[in-house]
Amino acid sequence: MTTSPITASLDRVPDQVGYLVMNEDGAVMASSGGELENDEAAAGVIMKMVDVALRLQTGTDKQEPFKRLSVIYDEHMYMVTISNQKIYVSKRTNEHHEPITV
Amino acid sequence: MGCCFSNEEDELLPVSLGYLWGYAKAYMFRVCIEGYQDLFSLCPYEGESKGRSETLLEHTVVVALDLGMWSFKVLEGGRCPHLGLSESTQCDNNNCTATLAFLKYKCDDFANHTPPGPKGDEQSALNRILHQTANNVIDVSAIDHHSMEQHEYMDRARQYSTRIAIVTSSSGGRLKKKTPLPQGTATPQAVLATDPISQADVQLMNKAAAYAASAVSQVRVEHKEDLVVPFGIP
Repeated sequence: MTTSPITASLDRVPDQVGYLVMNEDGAVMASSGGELENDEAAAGVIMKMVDVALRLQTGTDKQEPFKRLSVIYDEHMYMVTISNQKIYVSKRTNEHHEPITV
Repeated sequence: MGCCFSNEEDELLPVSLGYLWGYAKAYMFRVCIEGYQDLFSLCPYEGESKGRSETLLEHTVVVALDLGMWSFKVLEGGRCPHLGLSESTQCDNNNCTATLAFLKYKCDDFANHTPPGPKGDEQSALNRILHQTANNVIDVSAIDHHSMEQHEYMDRARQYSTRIAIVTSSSGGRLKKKTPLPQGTATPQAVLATDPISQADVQLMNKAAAYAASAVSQVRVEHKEDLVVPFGIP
């Protein structure tokens, strides 16, 4: 695990159980010691999702199709963002702060 | 005679027993021979009674004879000790039982002898693994540096680069052009740390998607007119 400034600051994401940094080819460059440690399978899946999402046209901004991509499950969620030719993935616990309206 | 030979872990004794018990899968037992009186309290399974073990021993003795694997040694006076054998299988000079083969191991011998039983197999297995690993592992630091001639080196380099060019040109048409990554944000940790999508939004999305899916599933074809119409040709 690298201790570059970027990965150090990723530690400060709240409710985080793991993170992953990929390059544009989907190769894992760094990962936390938590859940996503060396998880190349998850990296591959998320890379494909990012590929598809990048091709979607939101219509508002041609330069940036999305700022953050979230995959939300019941108990956890994955947050993905792109910065500086690298893809950052963070797995966080999904705390339901708001009551669920039926 | 008073010889008792089982090791501390009750492991299988010399291989002769392995063959004998091969079909039974039993491997924990203890053989005690004390003065030939209480012979062969052979307990292949724990808690086995002596009577039954003797019967089993008799059975295996017969099997051993059929297999004809063992060279026998007469123990005393051409007469087997009391093995619970029937009269017809009484031991004589040529016809001793395989179980007697291990009577050769006296207590002091057993301590020194390395039986070709499971212990020996384990050792040979370990050796085999060791040799296999040594063959498979490539020690880079120990490789001799074969010096290559300059022209040979150039030839090879040219050959490799032409091959690479062929491969890339042939597959280049098929390689999917990946969309280049956008610039993205400058502070990924801030973006990742912000609040997630609200539950209300998630529920709205789920509801809308469910409506859309049910709407699509309800698409029907309504039959208005026939497609095939007969012409009225007079």
